[in-house]
Amino acid sequence: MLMEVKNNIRYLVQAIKTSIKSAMAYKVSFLIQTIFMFLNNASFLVFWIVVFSHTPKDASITFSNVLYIWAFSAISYGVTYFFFSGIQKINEYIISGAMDSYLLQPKNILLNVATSKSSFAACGDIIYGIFISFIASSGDIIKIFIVIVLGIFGSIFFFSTEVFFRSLAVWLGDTNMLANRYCEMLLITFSTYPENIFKTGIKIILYTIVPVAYLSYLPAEIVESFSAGKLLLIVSVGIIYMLIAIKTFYKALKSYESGNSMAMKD
Amino acid sequence: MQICVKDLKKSFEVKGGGLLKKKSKLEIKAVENVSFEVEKGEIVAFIGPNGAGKSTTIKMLTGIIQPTCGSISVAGFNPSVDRKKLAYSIGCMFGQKSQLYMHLTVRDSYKLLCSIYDMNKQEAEEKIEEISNLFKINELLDKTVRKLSLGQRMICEIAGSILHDPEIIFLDEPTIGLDIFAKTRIREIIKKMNKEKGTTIFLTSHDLGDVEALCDRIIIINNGTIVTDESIEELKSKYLSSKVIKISYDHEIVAKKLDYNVQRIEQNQIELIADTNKTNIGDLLSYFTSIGNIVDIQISSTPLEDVIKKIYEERR
Repeated sequence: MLMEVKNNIRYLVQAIKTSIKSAMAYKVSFLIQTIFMFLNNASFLVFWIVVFSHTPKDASITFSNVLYIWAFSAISYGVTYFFFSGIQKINEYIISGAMDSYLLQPKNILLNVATSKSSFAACGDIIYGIFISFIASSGDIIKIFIVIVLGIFGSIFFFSTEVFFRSLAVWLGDTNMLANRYCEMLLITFSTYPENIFKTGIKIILYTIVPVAYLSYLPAEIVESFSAGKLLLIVSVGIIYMLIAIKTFYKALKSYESGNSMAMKD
Repeated sequence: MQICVKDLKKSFEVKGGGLLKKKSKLEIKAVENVSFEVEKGEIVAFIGPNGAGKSTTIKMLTGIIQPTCGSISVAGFNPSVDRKKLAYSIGCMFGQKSQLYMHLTVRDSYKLLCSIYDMNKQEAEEKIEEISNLFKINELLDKTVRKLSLGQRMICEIAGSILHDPEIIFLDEPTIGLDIFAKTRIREIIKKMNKEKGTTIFLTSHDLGDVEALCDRIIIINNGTIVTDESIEELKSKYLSSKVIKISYDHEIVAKKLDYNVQRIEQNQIELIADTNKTNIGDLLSYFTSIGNIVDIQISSTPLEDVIKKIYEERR
């Protein structure tokens, strides 16, 4: 048992190292994408500075709150796609039959697929998230630590959403657009605006089918004022989302029919 | 027994119709009542025309897809239940799919494969060294996979599939798209693996050269059912007993068409078809030697390709 855990950890480290190395095959491209992702995110920071300097002060929306929700969103996104970008290929692997090579290996299929790719641009998100949490907390190490830990946990929501929607490809055909729209339009967009600007109806959605509240709103509240209840809620919902995604993925594998198209790992 | 398959069936459901049309379901039987056994150390060819059910069968044997019904035992495991355990005992190389990373070196891809099979750093390095010596690919190890030629990549793929010393190797079209030199090299490597490590080889190929050069036994599948399962020798004696014999003399000869099924007489050359099951070749040669001074003789069999084609057509 202990040996199996040790072997799996060794494999995961090697798999992540290999996919990062593969992604970094073009070093200049890696640097450019990381820098541009950082600048892209930073441009929104400028936007919020302008908004706060031109609007009357509203005690329910503070600049530090906006920075924290951005930090959580960026770190969760960055961690998910830097280490587990392979999840974005699930639908493609299902349709093309490329899942075969993962099914032939004696490892957890989902982790194997997830760690098969790395998105280097996501590295810029992680750096940006840590950078703005530094600004928001005025360099408070404990708060930055909480942001990093909860940011890493928040990656569960991006991970689960991608796995869930992309696994549906077995029954629905190509779900690439569905997964992209759900993650980009809903998760990312809503997780970068403060909760208080939304009305009750939208808030219900953000606490249920689009789990933005657990990804950025509640963690941002915890950093500013710790609450064990909120932490427990985030962890519980995260586990439920993860279990639903894993269950869907393995159900999809049971219906997987493979294929004979030419495929090569990149 | 390394592979035991009994009454294997696989059917797929194809949905028809659409938004405006009435939806319908069609059941396609890809594999039907397939049964066979493979002993340890055998090299078995599993062949058939496109869409015959070869790949579907291999995918069921390796745990990639689940059978509709029937039983499978590979290296003592049921692939549907013990996928992970089975993976340690088998190696797979699908000619159309790669297990190597395009942007990385062969060595880096192998390191990852070794960690998949629980080897530590030192074990992995020793294994990569051993396999690269066996396959003579030392100079390819530090090349990026995308820069390899197709032949080099195929050799590296096969080497990658046996890093964990599997008991059985499934090779699906291992020589697809390769030139004659690369094909010969891959055939040599497969034979070497079988001889030196006693590895059981289960091979599919449309190239009957692979089958003739490598296999002891041939299983032919068509329309999802097995139509032939016999040794290459049996197949040859059954279908290749007819020999075409061309004899050239140093002068014009006289022979009757009735003699030994002579087909053609042209000045100093005759052509005949002899069935080795019915005709004594020694007597035949004695007869044709007695009627003139032979300067050249050619004996050829029906190519295996024609035999297989005949079987496909017969059992269609």
